[in-house]
Amino acid sequence: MEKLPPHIEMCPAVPTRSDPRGSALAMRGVERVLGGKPILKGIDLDVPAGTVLALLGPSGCGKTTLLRCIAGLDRPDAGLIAVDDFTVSGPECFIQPEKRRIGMVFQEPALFPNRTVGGNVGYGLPRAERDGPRVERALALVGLTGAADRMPSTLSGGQQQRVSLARALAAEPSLILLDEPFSALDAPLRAELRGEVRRLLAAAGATAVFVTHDQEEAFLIGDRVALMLDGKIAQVGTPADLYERPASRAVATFVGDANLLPAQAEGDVALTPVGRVPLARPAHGRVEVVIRPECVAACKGDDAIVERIEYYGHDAVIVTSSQGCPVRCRVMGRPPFDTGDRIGLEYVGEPSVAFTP
Amino acid sequence: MNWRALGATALAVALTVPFALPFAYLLVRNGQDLGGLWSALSDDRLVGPLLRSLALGISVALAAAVLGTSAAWLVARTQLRGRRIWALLLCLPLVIPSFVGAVALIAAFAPGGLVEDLLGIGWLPEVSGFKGAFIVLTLLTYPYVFLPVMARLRGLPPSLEESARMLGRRPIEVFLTVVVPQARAAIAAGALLVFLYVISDFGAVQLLRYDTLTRAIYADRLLDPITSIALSLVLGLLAVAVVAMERRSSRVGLRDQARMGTPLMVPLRSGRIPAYLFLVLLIGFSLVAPIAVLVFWAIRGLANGSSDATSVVADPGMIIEPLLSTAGVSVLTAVVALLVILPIAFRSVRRPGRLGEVLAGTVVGGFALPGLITALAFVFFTLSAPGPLGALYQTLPLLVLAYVVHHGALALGAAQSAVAGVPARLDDAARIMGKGRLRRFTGVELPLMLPGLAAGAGLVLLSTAKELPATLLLAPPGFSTLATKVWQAAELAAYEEAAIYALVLVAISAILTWFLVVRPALRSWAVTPVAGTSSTGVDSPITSGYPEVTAP
Repeated sequence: MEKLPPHIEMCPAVPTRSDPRGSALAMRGVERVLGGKPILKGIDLDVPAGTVLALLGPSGCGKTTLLRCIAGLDRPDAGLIAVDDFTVSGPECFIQPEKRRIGMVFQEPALFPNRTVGGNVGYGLPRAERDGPRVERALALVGLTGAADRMPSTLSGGQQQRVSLARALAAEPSLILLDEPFSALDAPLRAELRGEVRRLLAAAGATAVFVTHDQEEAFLIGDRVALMLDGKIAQVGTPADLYERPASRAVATFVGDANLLPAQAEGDVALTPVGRVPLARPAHGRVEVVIRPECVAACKGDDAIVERIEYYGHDAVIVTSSQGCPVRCRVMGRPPFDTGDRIGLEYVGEPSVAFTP
Repeated sequence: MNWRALGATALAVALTVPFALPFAYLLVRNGQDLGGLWSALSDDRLVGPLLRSLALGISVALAAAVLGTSAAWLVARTQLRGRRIWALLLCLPLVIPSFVGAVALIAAFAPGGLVEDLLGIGWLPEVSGFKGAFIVLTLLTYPYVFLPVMARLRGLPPSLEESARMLGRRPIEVFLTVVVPQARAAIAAGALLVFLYVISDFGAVQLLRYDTLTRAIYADRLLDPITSIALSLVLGLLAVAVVAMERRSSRVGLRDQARMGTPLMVPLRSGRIPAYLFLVLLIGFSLVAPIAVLVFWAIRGLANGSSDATSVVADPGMIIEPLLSTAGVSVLTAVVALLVILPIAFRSVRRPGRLGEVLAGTVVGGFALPGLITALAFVFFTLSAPGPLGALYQTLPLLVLAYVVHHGALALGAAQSAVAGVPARLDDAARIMGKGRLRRFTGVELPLMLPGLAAGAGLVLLSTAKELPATLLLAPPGFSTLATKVWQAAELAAYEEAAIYALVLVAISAILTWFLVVRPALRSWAVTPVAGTSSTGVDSPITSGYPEVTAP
């Protein structure tokens, strides 16, 4: 038979007021152990009202578990979760998922197959409004006007996921959770829906947490991105924060393509195999500097030798070897070099960050 | 097609013929006497029993659907303690044959019975008729709904129910608006099996004196055989129609989506006491109470002894003879059934096609026909047949033949899976190494198939050991099984004696059921079902391969 059920039990019907912080969603020290293995190791996170947080991380890092804890589908072993300044989960209290006013979109559309599209969208509404204008409005929002009488099985995968989103939005929840909602769709459809969902969430002024393992998706959809690694939040910030000023080596390598070059730091400048690189934070001695491939310009010179060229069409990466370490260098279009050529390298980006190895 | 393949096909077809005999006989016999058929069908002798059969079948099916579905939801979806134990206990009423359940109910309310003893009341309610039959059959058949619904709930993607909860609906609303519609096909399949069980039931309605079709057929068989045969045809058509419906309904609607993670368990909170009370009462009345009543009478009988020296109460050693008869005839039937079924299974699996389906369908049809009708058809056939065929009446070979025709389908599913489980490559490999057909069969295929075949034979054994109507009609004079002993004692109101035989029968049935049905089911529940492979969980040759629907 099945494993232990989630430890969801009784809790006071009236939520208790927690420390108000002005955040639509606040988490403090959230921990969860599943099957003897710690999955969440003390999560602190705030999502201001009206913003979208992309929760980014590799599979198995605990992001879905965190989302389920917020939803009330799982109960944390420690820590506090507050929604709109009401504690929904804490040591003494646990609000059942149906009382949290949180909308959720799952990986699969999870539409009720026995109900029409309209019946699905109206499912979370008060009885009197179940087939009224609110259903039509929600469907219009996702571009499915007039589909209310169709059965979910007659829709394509992308359309089903839109209905699922309309269903979550129709109830006007205080918070919307999206758990990798596009992972089952093919690439072109994904790209299309990404933009659409971003527009929708902004138009609705919704507060949302969007879970994904895809960095591009996280950057496109999130006003802010929280990178989760191994059960902990590694960094929270705007996409530019994460990309340009990663808080750790791990963040730098997970988010985007990065050269980590050995260097000698002297205050706000470092000597690297690609020359002098300005530093955002002063450092001294032996360090590793994060250098994005597009911040390295290739020119005529004698600094490095071309080992390989990865040609992608719209751009290309020249893999070079400079002073014995590999340096990746991104150029637009097709590079005017061949394997074995000697070229010059030059740093052309903003001040970067350095870590002591 | 070479000569050998032709021979195998001919053998399979020939072995299938007996399974079609009872129904064919009913058709021919009624066709020869259309006037008699018409007069039997157009008057009260048909309408009353038919309506009573339908009323009982429909009401028991509905009640079993409600009980079985509620119990499955409580066990699979709420924070109940001891989930595995409850699931196991809720299946166990399957081991009690309907006539034993009826004996227990009658004996409980009989003068001097458990109810009078415990409550000390002089006035006892009337338990016979519709009321008693409804109670006994509902309590014994709800597992036929419980099992497929459990399997379905296991296969449901948790995100459906989670979505509904996130959209603000309380667990009970989620149950009614999401779970029940999703489990509808499983509930319907289970309810149809219950309906079939009830309209085929002979023991319970006969003992509780509720005049359904089976009771009318049995009562008329000697004095008014024309009516009896006409009613048999009506009941047979009804049963076959139900099976056809069941097969169709189980074919559609049970496609599972990918299922991920463990389902959300509903906290019971203030519903905790009613929930446990419901399960305790259900198991109490369907399992504990009947056995307690039997134990009560058996102990009282053994303590007081009996003036009748031929009774098992006076001499417990007398249990040996019916016990050995039951075991012997059941083992014999299981072996014969396997020998008959194996060529049919081979033909239908190795050469899939229309003919294979017809053969398998005919075998299942033999199972769909109520045991009473199968037996009656053989009785009338042998009694009216001349010479050597007529001499078969009430002989052991004919009894075994009737058992095989009625229970063979129980082995068919298992045998088909066993045959399908042997890769055809192995046969090719052995052939290249120069082994002959017989050597290949005994050396390669048979050892691989043996566990599956044993399971199939075991199901035939279990059902034969509990069989009543065919044994009553076809057993040689002086040949008694445990089932007929229970029956005879119950008809004489010798409850002490009936209880002893019934307890032994239930014990044997429980042991066999544990090994053949419960353990495999528990083992399959231990692993998460793979997406797209939904089994209804009901052990029936009608839906799947591992049956346990035994005509009472």
